[in-house]
Amino acid sequence: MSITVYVIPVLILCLMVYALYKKVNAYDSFIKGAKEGAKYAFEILPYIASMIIATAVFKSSDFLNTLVSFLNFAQKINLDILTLMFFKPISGTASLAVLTEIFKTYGPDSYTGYFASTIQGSTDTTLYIITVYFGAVGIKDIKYALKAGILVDIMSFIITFFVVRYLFF
Amino acid sequence: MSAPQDSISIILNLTGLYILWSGLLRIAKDSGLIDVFAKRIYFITKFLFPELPKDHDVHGYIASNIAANILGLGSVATPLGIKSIEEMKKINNNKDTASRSMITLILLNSSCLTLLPTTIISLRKIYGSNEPSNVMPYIIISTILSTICALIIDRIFYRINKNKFIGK
Repeated sequence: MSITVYVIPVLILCLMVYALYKKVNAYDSFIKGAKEGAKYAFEILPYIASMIIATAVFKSSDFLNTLVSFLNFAQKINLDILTLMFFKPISGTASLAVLTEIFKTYGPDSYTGYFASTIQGSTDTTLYIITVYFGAVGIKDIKYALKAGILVDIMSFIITFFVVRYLFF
Repeated sequence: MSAPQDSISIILNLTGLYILWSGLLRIAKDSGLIDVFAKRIYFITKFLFPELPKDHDVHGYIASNIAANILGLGSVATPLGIKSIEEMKKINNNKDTASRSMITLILLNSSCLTLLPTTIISLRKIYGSNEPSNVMPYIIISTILSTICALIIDRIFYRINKNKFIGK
């Protein structure tokens, strides 16, 4: 925690000093870049909005509970973990909400708490990344990106399961 | 239903971050820092992204995207990743189809190599963990293994779909 507070300010300071040393007009450059940043945000607005709305609709329906209890045929993993695994590739905010729910119910130092933390920490929201990265620069044909991304997520969950299982005692 | 309004406030927050980091990235490019970075990192990125030309700034952008992920700065990584994809699109003659390198970058970001999982640790602290950072070895081992797995999956999918990239 203490190190990370300094990472960004030190990074920015070094950059400014380097720009000064190279005699670059930092303000002009910043504005040029900032315009690109604003353009990206504007480009992805419709994608993000529709994804958030779709997730909200899905969350408020009861379909997920039905699906999760159906998937849990083996009774090996608990339902909250399955819910987290389901939301993790779709939405960062939704999976964070599930994670806090797990912390409240089981406590962060329990086996379930460790499992959930590791899932949340070791993968990122695949669908969000595909939507945002490709949406911002106007890529329409994404080839096998989605299939491979979902497969990566499933494999990471399996890896996480074994890592937590053999490290936790 | 508040989701549509929520999405606007999320975008507004992101816009500020994108403006800040795209601006800083431009300073890094104009001062030649990205170029230096690109040359230093080329020995790694040439294996991950074999189709990208040598001596191109894109290697520097990719490296800064991966570095932001490693430091646990997810929201910083996004504008850097978009910039990398934009450069890859230019290299790919501005076509609106995904190139091999783009998908590799997407999968790398999806498996998300993190060595400082700051959000999780602070969240664990809030919910009364005795040792909030004890989860770090779990996350680091999982994230390294899943990143290796992502690279293998990327290669396999590329081999299967190889002919789809040619002739378009």
